[in-house]
Amino acid sequence: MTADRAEPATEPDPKVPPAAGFLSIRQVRKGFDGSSLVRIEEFDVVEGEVMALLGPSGCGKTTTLRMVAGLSPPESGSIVMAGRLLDGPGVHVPAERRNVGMVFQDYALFPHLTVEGNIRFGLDGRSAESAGRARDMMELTRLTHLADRRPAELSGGEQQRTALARSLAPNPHLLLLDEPFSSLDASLRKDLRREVRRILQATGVTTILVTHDQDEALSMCDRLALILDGEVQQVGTPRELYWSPRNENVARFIGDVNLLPGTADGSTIVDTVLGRLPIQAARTGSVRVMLRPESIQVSYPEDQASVMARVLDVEYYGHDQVLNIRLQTGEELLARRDAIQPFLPGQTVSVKPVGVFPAYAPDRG
Amino acid sequence: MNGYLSRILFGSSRGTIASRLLCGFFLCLTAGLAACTLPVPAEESQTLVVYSGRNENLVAPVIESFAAETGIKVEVRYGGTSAMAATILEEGENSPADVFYGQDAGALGALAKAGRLQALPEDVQSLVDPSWVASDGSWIGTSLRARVLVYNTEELAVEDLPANIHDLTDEQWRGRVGWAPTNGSFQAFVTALRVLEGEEAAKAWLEAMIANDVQVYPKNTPIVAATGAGEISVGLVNHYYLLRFLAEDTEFKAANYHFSEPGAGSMVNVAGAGIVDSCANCGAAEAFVRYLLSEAAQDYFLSTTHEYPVVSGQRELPSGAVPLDMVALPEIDLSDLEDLEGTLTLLRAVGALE
Amino acid sequence: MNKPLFVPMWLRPQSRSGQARLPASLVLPAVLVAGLLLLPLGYLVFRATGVEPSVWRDLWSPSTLRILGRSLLLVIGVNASVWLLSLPLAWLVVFSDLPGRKLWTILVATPLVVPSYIGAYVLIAMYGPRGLLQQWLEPLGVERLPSLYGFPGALIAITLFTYPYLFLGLRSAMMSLDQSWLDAARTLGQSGWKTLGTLLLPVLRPALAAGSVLVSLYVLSDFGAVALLRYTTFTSAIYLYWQSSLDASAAALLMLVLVILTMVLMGLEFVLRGRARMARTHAGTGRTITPVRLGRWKYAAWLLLGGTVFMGMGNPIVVSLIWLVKGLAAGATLQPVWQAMGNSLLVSLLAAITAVLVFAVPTAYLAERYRKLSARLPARAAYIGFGMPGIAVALSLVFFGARHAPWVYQTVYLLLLGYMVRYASLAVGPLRTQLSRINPRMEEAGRLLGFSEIRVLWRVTAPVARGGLLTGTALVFLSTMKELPVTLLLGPTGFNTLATRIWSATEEAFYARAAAPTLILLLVSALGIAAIFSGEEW
Repeated sequence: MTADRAEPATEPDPKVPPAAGFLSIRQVRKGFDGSSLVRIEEFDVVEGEVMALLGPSGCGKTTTLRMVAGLSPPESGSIVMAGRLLDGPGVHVPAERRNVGMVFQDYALFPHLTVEGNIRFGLDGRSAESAGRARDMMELTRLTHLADRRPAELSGGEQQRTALARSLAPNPHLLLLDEPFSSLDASLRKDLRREVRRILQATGVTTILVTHDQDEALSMCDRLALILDGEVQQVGTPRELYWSPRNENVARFIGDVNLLPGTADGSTIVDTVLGRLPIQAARTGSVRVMLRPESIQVSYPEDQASVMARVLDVEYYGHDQVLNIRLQTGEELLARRDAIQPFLPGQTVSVKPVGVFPAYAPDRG
Repeated sequence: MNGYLSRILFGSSRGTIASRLLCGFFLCLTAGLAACTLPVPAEESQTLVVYSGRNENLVAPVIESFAAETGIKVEVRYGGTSAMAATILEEGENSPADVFYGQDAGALGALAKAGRLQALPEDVQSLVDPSWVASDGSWIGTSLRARVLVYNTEELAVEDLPANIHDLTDEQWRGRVGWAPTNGSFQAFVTALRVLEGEEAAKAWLEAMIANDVQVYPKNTPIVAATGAGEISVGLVNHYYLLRFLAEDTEFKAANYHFSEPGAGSMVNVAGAGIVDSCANCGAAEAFVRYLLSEAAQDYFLSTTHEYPVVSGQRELPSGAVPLDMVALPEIDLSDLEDLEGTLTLLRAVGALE
Repeated sequence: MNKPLFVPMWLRPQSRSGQARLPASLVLPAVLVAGLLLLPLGYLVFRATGVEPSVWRDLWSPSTLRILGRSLLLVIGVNASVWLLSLPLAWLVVFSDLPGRKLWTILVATPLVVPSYIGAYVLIAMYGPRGLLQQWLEPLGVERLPSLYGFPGALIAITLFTYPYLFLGLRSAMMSLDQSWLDAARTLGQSGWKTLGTLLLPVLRPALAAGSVLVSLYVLSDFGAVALLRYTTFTSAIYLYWQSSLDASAAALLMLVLVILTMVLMGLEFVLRGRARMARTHAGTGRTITPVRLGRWKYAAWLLLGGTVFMGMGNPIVVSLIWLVKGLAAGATLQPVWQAMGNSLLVSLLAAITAVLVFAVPTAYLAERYRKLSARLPARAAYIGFGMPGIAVALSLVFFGARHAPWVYQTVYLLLLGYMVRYASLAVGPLRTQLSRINPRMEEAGRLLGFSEIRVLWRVTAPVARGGLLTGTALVFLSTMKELPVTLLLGPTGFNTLATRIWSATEEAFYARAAAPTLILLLVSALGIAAIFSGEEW
């Protein structure tokens, strides 16, 4: 099989549009026939990184993944990987010639083959080399002891690892993970995320992970792209997307938000009920300042210098706690605190915002 | 290939011994197929090809002895008489058949009408009474089969039986008579009835029979079986089927009866042969037709298939058979029986074919 | 492989329309084979053009309509009884804890091999007004049994020869069901009986639809059984018309009416089958089914299974043995049948494998994965051959072979084509049913591992759909074992099978000679099915 695969072109192909990343998607349109609509103007993945596509269900992230895989061709636009035009005007490289691995949401293991058979499926038949590769993959995914089992005899996590090993075995240029943890229970999910992260790091493969789970996206990837309504809203590191979301929708999708109205005077300072807050870019007129619960410091005994609030409700998570507080001016805010200091509803606390915040135009509700 | 087949049909990883064996079996079969379908080109022209609408169990011995006697290699394709005739019609000029051998004057007539049979030499035609030869000499009768009334011997004695077919419309035979209106011999009999007694009389008889609750069977054999079982009392059939039942089951409770008055009910039909116009081995074909009229073949028909010979000679009849010259035969020429269309229209009109 | 070969325009979706293209490597063989299977239709149209006006008058007579009505009545009746019989039988061999379910499956499927002319004859011999049963009852004063002839006899006989079509299809569909579906239904508070209506039947819809079409087409095309049981149907009327006059054009015209009926039935199947996809949607791989304990019901189960097998196989065996004994006692001679047996097995297995691999796999895959009309047409084309009387198929291939393909005429190759024309459709239904259950993601996974669509079809889809493949193989195998007109007309000259031997002996009332091949036919077919199903996981 490996012989069939096109190696990355060494010389630039004049037909290939200049690409910024290892994988470049340009002006891709899909789904104008009525299915979920995707419009991607520009999207790049850097070699070796783990990129997450995050968005609510139906936003078009899986459609995007299937276009990259070659399973459903875009209606227009181009997809370039490693300098090779995969989709473009008059060009469609079929899935089997893209050297792209994929782990499906439901794994799609071959029920008639054993774990080893599944992993060796994409390798060159009977060669000793392929046996060795399959062994390595099983070792990497800790499946060696299950080599002769059928998929029906595996637990969910084992099935998922088998699917991962199968897609990694032919040494793909790009690995696609489609909601790989969604069908696992929560306790298993965390361990497996760490496990998959380890495996990805060990192989160094460029990866795109599709998920609707923000924790998964933030914790597993190097960068992530937020997709809403079929369009890429923002691409960046988890930290960038969390602390500097481009708009309110992005902010709301990744984590909890507090939005405070304020007035800017053309500088990077805004007047709000919490006092004068620094913002990330200069603004004029009325704005809404976005504060994450983590940047609102709540404490007692009361510090007369800061703003006072009353605790309405406490959600205790063990590793931290989220307080719902009401300012004297009436605004309700969420604040996150470490788990150590106890808070009780009705208590009066002092509030102090910390950091530099994004601010948005107030036109949207 | 083996692994491939086995994977698809049986799943490779299971690899049970049974599935391996089966795969081997398939491979052997394929090889066997290849071997048995190798064309036999050079010899073909020397092989006589007979399309036989007559049953293998009846005529294979005659054909074998022809081959043995003349040294001519014979290949026979067996099928229903009409199916074999239709095959020759569909094959057209490319028909591999040299001889058509059938047991129904209707099918022979259809081939002749389509111009697919070539005229037989005069001396062959002259071997047989002209009433058993097609008027244009395109086919020739090789053995005769008489229409009879088969009856259940437990229920009836010869004295109880009717003198002619018209008596079967009496009330006493209500629901007790079997016929096979879809059968070629029966249709030939109806044609004879039309010729002998006229269209109106034939129609009246058919309608009276139906009104008398005649039992419908698809062909002769089940009528004979039903008569022997006592399901019906009598049946209108060809004479020789009963003789075969008796050969396998000596206690079979039925006998043949020839109507005592001459009429369509006791007419005689032929089995016959013709040479196909596109024959590749016309000489061998002629030899074959000649052989069917030979003393040996005629003896065989009488003794084994229980048919009457067409070439006269001193022969002993099998038990249960009545000599043809003692049968009250109607005055009718087989070439008068060509209007099968008319018969079918009549049968359809009276509702006999539903 | 990347560049498509020639693909007809109407099969080629617009480039980059976003819809999946039909792969040329599948379309080409499917179209080619489907085209071959449509040869008889072309022949009928060609022949019907020469028809005389008087035939039109005959065709539109009230009697024709009456006969047509009778055919349809039989279609409805047989379907009803086949459903009533096959559903519990399939359920028992798949879901129950009955011992010997494997053996029962084989025994229950085997009656399919009984040729209708012999099956009907046997029924009359056993249960006719003065049949064997009456003879055994005679000491009790039973003079005559109620008549079997007409609708009831035809209904019983054809039900017995056709229920395996539905039984095998249902069984294969039931085996691919997922225990979790059944469990889910139970947890929603549904009892075993309720799940039948709410879950089982809807999920089995494709199998029921496919089986019913086969059963209906068989009823329409059969004439052996209805003739013996004295129930005139449209096909027996056509056959008579043709046989008596050898007028191919009139018969062709009548048969085109039959083809139209076939198409109507396929339309009904389309409606019955429904548009829903039945693929499993959840993650992981399905668990196997835990058998249902029958408890006291097992006696009823034994009775049903035993009774069916007796009616289907027991009757022919009893009657054949009686023939054999009586005939031998009267000094009848038997003939060796080994060569006929070898031929039967050879052509039947080859026909079954060819039908499945060459025809059913590409067409069923196209129809199931590309759900557009053009992709479904090839799979439909095959049904026309099954709905036609065998003699019509045979004669059309005689016409085609002798005039246009003399190099294959009267060889096994054209014979195999004839079997394909008649029976390839049998292999499509079970496979489609199974394919509709297979998660398409699995095929995509195969492609992402570097295999082209057609190779994925062979390496992933086919092995996973093995149950459907084997069922299709079994159906074609059994049907070919008993096939008569195509064998007689298209086989190499002098080619004998068990079916031709039986026919040739019974035709002239040599019953003792028919007995041995009949018994061997039943035995060998049962063994054949056992071998075919040995590839299945039980």
